[in-house]
Amino acid sequence: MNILSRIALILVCAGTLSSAEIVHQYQSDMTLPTDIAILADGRICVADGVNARILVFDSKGASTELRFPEMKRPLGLAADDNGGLLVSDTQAKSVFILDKYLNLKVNIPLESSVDPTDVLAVGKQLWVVDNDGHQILVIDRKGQLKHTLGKKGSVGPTFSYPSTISSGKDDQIFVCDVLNGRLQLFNTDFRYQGQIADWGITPGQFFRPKGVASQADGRIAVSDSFTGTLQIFKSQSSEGTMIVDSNSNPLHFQNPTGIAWDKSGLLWVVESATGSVMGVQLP
Amino acid sequence: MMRRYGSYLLVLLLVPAFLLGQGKRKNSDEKECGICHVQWHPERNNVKSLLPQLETSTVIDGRAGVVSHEQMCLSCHDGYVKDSREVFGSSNHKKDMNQAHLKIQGLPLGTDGEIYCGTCHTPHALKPNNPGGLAPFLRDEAVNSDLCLSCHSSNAKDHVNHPIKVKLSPSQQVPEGGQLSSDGTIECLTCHPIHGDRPVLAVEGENRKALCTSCHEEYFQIELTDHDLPTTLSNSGSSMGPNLEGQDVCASCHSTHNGQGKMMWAQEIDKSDGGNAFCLFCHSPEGLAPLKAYSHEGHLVEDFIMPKDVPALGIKAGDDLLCTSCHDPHQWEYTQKHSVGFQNEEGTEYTSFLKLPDDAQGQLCTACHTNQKKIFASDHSVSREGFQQYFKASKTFKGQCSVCHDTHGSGWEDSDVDKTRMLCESCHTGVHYPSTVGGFDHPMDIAIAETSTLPGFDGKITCITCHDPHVWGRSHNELKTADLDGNDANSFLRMSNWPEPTLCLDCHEDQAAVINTDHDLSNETHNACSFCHAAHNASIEDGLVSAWDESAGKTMNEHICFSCHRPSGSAAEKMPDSWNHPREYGTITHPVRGTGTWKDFPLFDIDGPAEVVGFIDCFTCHDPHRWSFNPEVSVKKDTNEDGDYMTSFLRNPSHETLCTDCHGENTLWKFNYYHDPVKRKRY
Repeated sequence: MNILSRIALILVCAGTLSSAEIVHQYQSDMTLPTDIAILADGRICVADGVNARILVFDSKGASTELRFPEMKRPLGLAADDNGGLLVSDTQAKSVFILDKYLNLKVNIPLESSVDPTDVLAVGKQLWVVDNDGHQILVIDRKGQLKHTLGKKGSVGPTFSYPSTISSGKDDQIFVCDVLNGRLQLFNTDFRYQGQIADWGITPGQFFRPKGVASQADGRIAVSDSFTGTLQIFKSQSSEGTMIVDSNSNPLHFQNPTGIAWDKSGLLWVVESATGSVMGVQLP
Repeated sequence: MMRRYGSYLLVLLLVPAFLLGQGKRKNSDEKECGICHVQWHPERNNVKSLLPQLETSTVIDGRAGVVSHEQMCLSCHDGYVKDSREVFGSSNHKKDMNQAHLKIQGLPLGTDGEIYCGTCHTPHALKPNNPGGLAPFLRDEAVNSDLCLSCHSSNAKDHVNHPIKVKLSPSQQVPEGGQLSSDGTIECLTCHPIHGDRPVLAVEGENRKALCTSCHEEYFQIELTDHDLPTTLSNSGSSMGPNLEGQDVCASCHSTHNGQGKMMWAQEIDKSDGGNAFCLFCHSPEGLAPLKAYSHEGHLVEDFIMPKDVPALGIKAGDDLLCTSCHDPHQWEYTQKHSVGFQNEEGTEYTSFLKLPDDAQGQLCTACHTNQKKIFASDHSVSREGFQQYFKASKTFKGQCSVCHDTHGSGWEDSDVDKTRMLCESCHTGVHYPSTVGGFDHPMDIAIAETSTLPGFDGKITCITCHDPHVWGRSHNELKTADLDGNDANSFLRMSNWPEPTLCLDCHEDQAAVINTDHDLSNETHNACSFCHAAHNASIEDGLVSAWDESAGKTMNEHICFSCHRPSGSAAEKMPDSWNHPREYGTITHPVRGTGTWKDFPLFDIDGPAEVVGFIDCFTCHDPHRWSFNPEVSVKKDTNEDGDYMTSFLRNPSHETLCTDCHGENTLWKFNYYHDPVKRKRY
């Protein structure tokens, strides 16, 4: 990017935040890690599915690994309400429930047609993203199907390869709708609440939205794996704001996927292509 | 009027809807392609565009081929549209690999000639679930190796590469993660997962063991034998040979691709050594196994085409006879129960990388030499007591064939020493064997009759001229013996020698006249020769007379003849009343006179033939093999025919004797009445 373009970008990006800074970068021989979840005790869990494991980083970045014979290729992670961890595994076709000691407690096998890319605890229910099925499955913790949301499509409560799911304030549920280039919103009563952004390559648009995380204050962070950017939305109706570096250029990551906020306000980003997880300090 | 206004209203309503629909379709088409072809996006040049600056050397429609950039592919294949994390996580078959050696045909490359995702894949290919569709969106079929060979054609050349297009045997298994073609044949993908995390399946570093064992587990009996060169060379402590550290046991001899010769040979070979070149690379004075150098002596291993199938050794008719006809270099011991030897262990008949052992049944050798199996039932079986005593005494052990034959020893035929005879005598002059020879035996250093087809050593008679040590009774299908003395029907004789003495007459054709004469004493165990003659352990050397009565007479002739021609003998009716010639009158032999051969008028002394001067004895006048000197009356008219001056086993007519030298005109009288003690004195 030449200097004129950078200046132009700064001028047009009126909604950009002050510069963000990468304050942590953890690597532990991960291969294309996908999702991240931050446990109640602050430990950071990262799905390293190619290596059939989950890495758990402590506050100093030291990692330990979780492996279970039942776990083949974990992809999606979410913190469970009781301090434990939820794992979706696309090869095992299962959702795993780990307790707060990260012991595997429950293996919920899914139909073989289900492609579970992410999972979210919503009360006593689990919302499972069925990527290939272009839908959300709502099951109880015994695997009993309670509800389904969406179908393949591009208008309204439909999906084209939904990827990750996250909850926000006011019982909002966000789902990254990858090939539709948007964030789909539902409430916990399964009602469709509309979408955030649409497909495109300019700020406020998504080309490959992959990760979504919501802060208690209502901010919604979304990663775009192709453009390598992060955008913040204050609400459903707000314009997206790019996360930029000290030069006011969009802070760029190589294939960012899963993201999560920690209690201190750091936004943790899985940089899949480099096998890293990064803590980003936002202004 | 209302209808007209209605029509206008309808048009006003439909046109915007149509235009709106057109706009949506355009947007939809734009996204349909733009979902990957992002460089076609109308905002691509917008200063706000978030498109990353991707370095790419691919050009599509005159623009940088961002669409084919790996990051575009990964944006879906990272697990969130399609899960290809293992593919993208693989370090294998990346675009930065060295491809200068390849001849890539019919596949797109980057402007710098490098491969990229689109070299092999195109999303525009038929979807895999459509007829003809190739997963995963391949430009050509990979599972049958077509796509791979577009670049790696040299890796499919027969013999120097691992074969493809062949089916696994029932005992072979597809390597985990490998694929067979739809026809079940081995293809590139059987071993090469393309995007796995290793160049080939289950390979650790340069060690291919885990991969190779899936199909070739039996060959890994080679491990820790002397043919396990990575181990052997490492243990040798020397720097000789190739550096095979960390490589699998196969690596020393086999390269999976582009080997130096057949069987994917890994080492340089001297093609002039033919099919044995693979072995001779090491088994030569300059090779890694100089102590086991092949000497080109012993068993034939070149320039011989196998005339028939030998299933036990995996040989087919038409195969070259090679080292590997007998040896399996992958297994030290044939049963695989003793697959691991210790380093430099000297081989035995059960080990030595032999396909079959040379055990008491001679399994290895008799697989081809089937006719020699008859030896097992004979006294030449190594299981017999004599051999066992020999093995015990010598603290050695030999197999049925190797006890006599040294497969890799020096050639017997080319030696100037009769090793065959030495071999026989090594046992048959010893203490452990009943048929010991070494007394008065048939001479063996004389030329074999020109008319004979019997084998010999340097054209001369040796043991195997008469004997075939593999068959006890060749002509009579008599196999079994148990420490018995033989007779003319067996005794390992090479030719039939009973009831007709065919073997003897093969050389001694002149003596065939004895057959059916009164001197043909053949019976159920003896032929016409052996009653009087013994080929081994005869009583006297001259004539190899087998048995005689020393009390029957005073001279050698008398001892022999009077054994029968005496009152208590079998020829008592033909007992001469007078026989002896005055022995004080010596007679000079024909050879000394220069007038003929010794046989024309043989002369004797007390102990045997006289070469210069002797006296007249029985065999001077009589040839016991021939009823008459006249060939026309050589056969008797009946068994009890009395003889006369023309027959009676007389050697010559009277006028051809030396008798006239002394007896002059009385010779005929003396000759006719030689055995009449009264009449012969009349003149």
